[in-house]
Amino acid sequence: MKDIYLDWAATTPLDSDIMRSALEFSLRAYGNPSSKHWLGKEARQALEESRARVMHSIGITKGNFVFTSSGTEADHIPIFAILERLRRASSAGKPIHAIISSIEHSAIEEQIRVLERLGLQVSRIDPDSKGHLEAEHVASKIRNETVIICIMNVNNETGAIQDIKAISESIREVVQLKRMKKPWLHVDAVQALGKLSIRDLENYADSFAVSAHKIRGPKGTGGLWFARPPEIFIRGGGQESGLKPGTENLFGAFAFSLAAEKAALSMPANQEKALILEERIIDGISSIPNALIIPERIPKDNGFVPSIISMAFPGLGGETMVRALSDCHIAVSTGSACMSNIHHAERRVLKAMQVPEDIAFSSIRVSTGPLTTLQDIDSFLEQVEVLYRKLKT
Amino acid sequence: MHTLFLIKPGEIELKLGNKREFARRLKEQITKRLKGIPFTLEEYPGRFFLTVEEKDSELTLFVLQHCPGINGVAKAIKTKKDIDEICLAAVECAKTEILTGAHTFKIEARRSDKSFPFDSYRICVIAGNSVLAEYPTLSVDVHNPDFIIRIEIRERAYIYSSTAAGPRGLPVGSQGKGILLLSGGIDSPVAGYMMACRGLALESVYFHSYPYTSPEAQQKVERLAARIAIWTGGMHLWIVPFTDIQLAISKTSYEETKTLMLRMAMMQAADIIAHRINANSIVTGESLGQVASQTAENMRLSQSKTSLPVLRPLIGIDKEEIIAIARQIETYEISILPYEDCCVVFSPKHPILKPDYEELKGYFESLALNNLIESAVMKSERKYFDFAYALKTNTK
Repeated sequence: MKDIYLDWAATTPLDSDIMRSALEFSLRAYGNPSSKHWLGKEARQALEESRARVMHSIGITKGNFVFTSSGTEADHIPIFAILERLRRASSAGKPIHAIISSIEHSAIEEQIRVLERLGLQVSRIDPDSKGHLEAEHVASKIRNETVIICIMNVNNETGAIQDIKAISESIREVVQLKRMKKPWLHVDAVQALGKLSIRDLENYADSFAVSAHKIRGPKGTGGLWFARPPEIFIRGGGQESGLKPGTENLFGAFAFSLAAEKAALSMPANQEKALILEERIIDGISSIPNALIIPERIPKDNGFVPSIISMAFPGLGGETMVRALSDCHIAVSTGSACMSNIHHAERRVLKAMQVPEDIAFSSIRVSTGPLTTLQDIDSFLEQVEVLYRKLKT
Repeated sequence: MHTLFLIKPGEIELKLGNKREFARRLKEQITKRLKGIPFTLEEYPGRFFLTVEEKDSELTLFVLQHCPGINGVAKAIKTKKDIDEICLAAVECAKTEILTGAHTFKIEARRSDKSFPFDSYRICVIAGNSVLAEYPTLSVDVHNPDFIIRIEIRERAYIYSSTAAGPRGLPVGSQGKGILLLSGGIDSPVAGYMMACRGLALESVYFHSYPYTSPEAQQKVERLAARIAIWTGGMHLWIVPFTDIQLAISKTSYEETKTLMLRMAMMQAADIIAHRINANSIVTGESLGQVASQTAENMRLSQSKTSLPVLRPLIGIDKEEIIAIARQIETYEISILPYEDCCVVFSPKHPILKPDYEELKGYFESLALNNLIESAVMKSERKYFDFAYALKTNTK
């Protein structure tokens, strides 16, 4: 039985050429980038080249980029940066405030929840029924004491794209009008990297997070871009502008840079392919009685990345469908793989979109990638229909 | 070096007629559970004495504390029936207790051998004085002492202080064998533990409905079985594939009766297994009214699928109390792992509460599930969680 992998939003198969190059390179360049001898200097140079390659591939022209251990860690750096202000505000008896969307990844939601327990006031913005945030709605929640706003670029469950430009402009308008200090805007761009151009984020955001393993790079490597350095929370040897202390993961950084380069070069072709696959999936699911795409969308809807699609099979639990498909060697997931371990967070995104509970319960997420074929989609559609008929209660 | 354990048996002391049989069962259980550990076990009226090598003493104590039919266990010192030796042993006991921070004590003596020249009162006075002479900071408190030194004059003298509680009840197997319906929830492991302590040997049964229930849910039930095996001294778990039956019920049943039909089907399968393994009863974790399927009317219907008595030790127990026991026997943390249990596949919004007995019994028959149930039992997997495995996974 052929393995059919339709869980690219969870992680992607490693690119063997890239991994081989990175391995060979690392076997040679094993020095610590902070060492003063020639091996260290070589390693330092390679690290800076990798950084430049990532920035160039994304299209970043300003600010700085640091390598982190994951997208999650990159999300945490700007959040932890407000801890000191939170402490000062708390001891002065003053509030500080954050705005996040209610459909953020657990990396943001769960960490903000911790700060909330420490006294941070939080406004959560619900999306509309399609999973999109209204820019004015976000900006309307800004107060004098708002210090950070976190908005994800592409949602990992529905593929909904947020209009970061519009949100940023609305924020600026409100801030100027009310003569307030502009809050830090952090964008989780983990699912956006490789799927759409994020070069403009440097004009709208104060920081954004990305991750290598979503673009066929290795797990354990992420990155944070920022216009100006956030306050340092984790202290150590001062590596990566002090924001990510610890000996640099040169293997990961090097591999990430090659993966970013490849993703940038193949993006137009990949996007085109993803649109064809999307159409086949949406048409196929729509022809299965009772099955539905959530949120309802037509192919080529530019409010969504075509490679991430949620769907529901009412009367059959999403987890059951995932297990049954897994037995047929078809890999999909229920919502976010990262949330499957957190009970209370389950189906949080769909709930925020006012999707009825039983529909959300019966949902699965399908995500495609550059290696997905139309035959893969046809096999999936065939199996999913058979299983739905057989297992529906 | 050896360690001597003084074992106080439980209710077998009360059962005059069957005393010998129960004592034999208890010895059998202790012997089975100490497999691989060299020991000697002696029986005297009202007491067992177990000797093991010192290196095995900690494990042995754990085994005895989890062996139904035992009321209490104490590490004891055996001496000649000589008052000086007895006093030395009492001082030794006091020393151990002082190290745990005790300040007050009393002495209790029992003289089964009336030829011993001192009566119980005198023994207490003499031994107490020795302890006070050695440890002047201690003082006597006969009402609320920090510790009690007990002296028993039998064929020898036995001196001991702190007694660890056992599970009490009756030795496993003295009441035959039952089959426990194990779901993965909080209640059924507690029911199993309680019946094991009433002397019932147990095999358990789990109804697995893959892909509706996950492999993780099954692993959770296996962990629970392994945990209960500590009290039962090893346990078989039957894993019955129930998906086809669930589907048959779901395709044909009225929504509000689905859970009830499923319970009846499970009871019928348990009955088949019970007869196959010569079990005399079926044990469930039901508690009256706790959920919709646990009304008296629903239980009457599920019970109708077996001729054996259905034992429900939790029937009158409040959920909070059940949870307290589950925490005490350390099944609670396993039970609350977030995997669906075998009954969540159908959760009708308004399950039937007061079914008409004849009507629903007829309805169950009309589903014609007999062949499916027979074949599910045939396809069952039977796993054994032996006591050594249970010990390994449950002792730190």
